[in-house]
Amino acid sequence: MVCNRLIFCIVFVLLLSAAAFAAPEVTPTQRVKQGVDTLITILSDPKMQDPAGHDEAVAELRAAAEKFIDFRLVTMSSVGRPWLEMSPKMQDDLTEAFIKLLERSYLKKIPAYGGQDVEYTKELVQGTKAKVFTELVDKDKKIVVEFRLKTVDNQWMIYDVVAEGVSLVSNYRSQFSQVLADGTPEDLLKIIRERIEKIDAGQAESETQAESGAQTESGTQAGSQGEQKQ
Amino acid sequence: MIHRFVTGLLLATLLLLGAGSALAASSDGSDGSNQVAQLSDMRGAGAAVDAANTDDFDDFDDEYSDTAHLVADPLKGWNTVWFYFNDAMYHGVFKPAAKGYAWAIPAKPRQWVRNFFTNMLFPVRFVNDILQGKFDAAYMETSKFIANTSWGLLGFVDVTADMKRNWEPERPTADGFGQTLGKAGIGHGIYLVWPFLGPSSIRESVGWVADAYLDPLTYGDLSFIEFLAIRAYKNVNQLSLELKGNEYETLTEGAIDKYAAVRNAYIRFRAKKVKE
Repeated sequence: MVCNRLIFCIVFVLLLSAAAFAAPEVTPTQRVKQGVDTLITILSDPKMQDPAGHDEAVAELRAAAEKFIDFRLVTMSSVGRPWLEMSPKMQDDLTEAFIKLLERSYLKKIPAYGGQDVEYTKELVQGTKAKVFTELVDKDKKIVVEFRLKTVDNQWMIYDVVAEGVSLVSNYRSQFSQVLADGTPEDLLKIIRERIEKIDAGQAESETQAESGAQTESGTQAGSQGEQKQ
Repeated sequence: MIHRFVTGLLLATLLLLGAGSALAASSDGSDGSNQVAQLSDMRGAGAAVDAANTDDFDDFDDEYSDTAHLVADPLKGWNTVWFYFNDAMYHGVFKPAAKGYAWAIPAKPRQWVRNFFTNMLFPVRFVNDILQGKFDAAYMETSKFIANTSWGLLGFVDVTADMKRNWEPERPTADGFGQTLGKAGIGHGIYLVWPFLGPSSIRESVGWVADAYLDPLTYGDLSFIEFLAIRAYKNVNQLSLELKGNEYETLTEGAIDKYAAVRNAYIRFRAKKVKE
């Protein structure tokens, strides 16, 4: 009798936990592939280059990116422990500013890598976290890019991208921590916003430059030691 | 003399090939343990399943907790000066020079020049491949070097470029003695930024000096100025082929603190190279 009840309990608990652990239907690799393909399609659209439709294209890009990337998780991980002491308003503002910064710097650079073959080499899943390993293969180079995902509302969402060992989150954490150690979250927000303004100003500048000195560049990609180029 | 050198290399590689295949098997094994290590990196991932957003914070925080102490930087003031000097040189001198050069010379000849310099640094890659036990990569490098030096007109033409897939080594080829030292378990020491040369560390600087002994350019009958000119030309040529999708610019453009961003990226990138 006791035995029966025990078995019933065990089965019940197992059923419950099975429901709780229910894996999303789409695998992490499929999610990353969908995301990468969607973003490359939008970014390769000539509309992206056209100043008239630029705002619209950027809005489209952002809406698509938010379907696959959980920017709140990206921001939270990049900020680290000080995140817990921030007001929800500050968390929202920081996330919003950070999205804009990433949009202007990293997201827009994707087409430079878009022409290459993307090979999905490996997938590791543990609990609610996963890593998807890809290789961008160029003629003479191979760039290893790792996507880190977490299940959010029963769906895999990207929260970090690691290119050639360099984690986006870790990279920003190293920058944010200094600002937050010396100042307040408001300072960080201000610095991010200033950076965005600077990029926008510089963008206009380089676009006019590109028009005056039109030159075609070979499709050769940067080496893996870009930071040693000087 | 050169014949004897090449024959010697060939013999050495043939002898080492047997060992190489044994290594290929063992490197498979190490790759497996790597996966396990990466999985165990994600500690506590399952525990936070039912938790609300902030409750699984610790889990994420753990994952990046090493960021704060990646490398010691006691000379930060000095490094910062040279970092911004280099950054200004990049934007003010080297990038415009590379742009002008790219405008004047078509991409093809510039690729030949790059190939020539790459081919010339074969000894650095070969010796470090051997030291790191990457015998398959050493074999590939030797084959490429012989083919490109002879049929490829002293390395200007990379005749093996399209064949690469056929002899791709198990792991990427070695890139220098700093990497070998890292593989031997030696840490960076402290972070250093050199004028013109960029980010480094004590370990990587020692690596550069060691690599210079294997660089044919060091043994050329050149004055110091000529040596510098050739190095500068090599770098401008390289940069001219990387004006778009350039990692340095992508990284620093989106950064709110360029210095911290490059330091973090440099250390992470070197760690990845040491691991492979």
